[in-house]
Amino acid sequence: MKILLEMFITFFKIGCLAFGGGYAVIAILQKEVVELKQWVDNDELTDIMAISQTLPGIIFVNSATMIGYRKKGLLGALVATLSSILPTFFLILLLTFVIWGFTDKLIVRKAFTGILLGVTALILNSVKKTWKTAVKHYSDIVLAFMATALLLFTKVNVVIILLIMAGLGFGKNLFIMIGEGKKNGLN
Amino acid sequence: MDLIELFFVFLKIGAVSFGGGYAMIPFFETEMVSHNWVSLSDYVKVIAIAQVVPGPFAVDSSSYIGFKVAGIVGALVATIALCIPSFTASVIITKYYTQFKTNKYVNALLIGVRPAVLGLLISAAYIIGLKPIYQINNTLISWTMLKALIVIGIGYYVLNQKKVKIGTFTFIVATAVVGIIIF
Repeated sequence: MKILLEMFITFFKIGCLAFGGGYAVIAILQKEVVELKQWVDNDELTDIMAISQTLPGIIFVNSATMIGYRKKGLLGALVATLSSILPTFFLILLLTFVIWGFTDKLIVRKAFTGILLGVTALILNSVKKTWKTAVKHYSDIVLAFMATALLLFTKVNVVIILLIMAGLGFGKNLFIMIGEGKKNGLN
Repeated sequence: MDLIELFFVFLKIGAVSFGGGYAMIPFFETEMVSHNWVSLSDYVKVIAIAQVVPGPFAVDSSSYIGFKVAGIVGALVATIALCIPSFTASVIITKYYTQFKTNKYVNALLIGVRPAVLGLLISAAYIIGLKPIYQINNTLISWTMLKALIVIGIGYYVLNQKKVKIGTFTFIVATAVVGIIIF
């Protein structure tokens, strides 16, 4: 029982501190979960972060679930996940409620326009980072541009586009794998 | 009825949104606009506000959209539904970790979907940065658009220069000031 309460407090705290997403969250997890609580070691955390990024859904939730599950089974996973998203859940509703009335003011609208362009630059930055892990073969560039073109220039639903592209990527990798298998067989 | 629809839409997003983070934006945008839940101009306000809220911004999105549809219960339903698929997948993977790590089919799928994530991110950049400005006058060619592209370009440069380390929070405050000055 004590460990669950400790988990709740730790992940709630991480949820309150997790500004800036992605890399910032890894640093916080390292400090809180690896150094202070020693629930997982550094190698495990590296593994957890790598898998979290490949699974669908919220990366932060994936890693909280995995850490909670390793430490205290299904209940641990539930506690870690829920407590890590609670701060965000309430803060966004509260802040939106407080600020909404001002968002029609000219100065706030201008500030928001600036912020959204900043977010766009942040997104392009993650395009750059993702490019390094996603593009291993010239065919990956073709797939990436195909996905972009389908998303921007057609009315096909994004879920369908994603499933098609995932199928193509999967098929392509299988094809390459079989090819490499044959090559190895000949040697 | 709304709650059931909300639940299944966010469950679906949670199950297919590979890449997480900003790559989830196209999913939220498509669903909320097609269901007439939230307009893009309201949603981007929430994204701007979310920059000063800690935690995953997908939760900001699900809480807000859910709240607009069915109040606090809607916010809960949307957020929990969004987390269910990855929660389940994370538990299963932790349990059978070694088998997953070495399974070539799992790897072929997880690596195979990455180029599509690039497409999602580029599309997210358009939805957040350019589409709201496009929708003002229904044209891609305008002074505002030119100014926007310049701000994005400078922002990208600032993020990638090595001389001064800038935190995300400082960066966001700076872009707010820039917005007030030039728009």
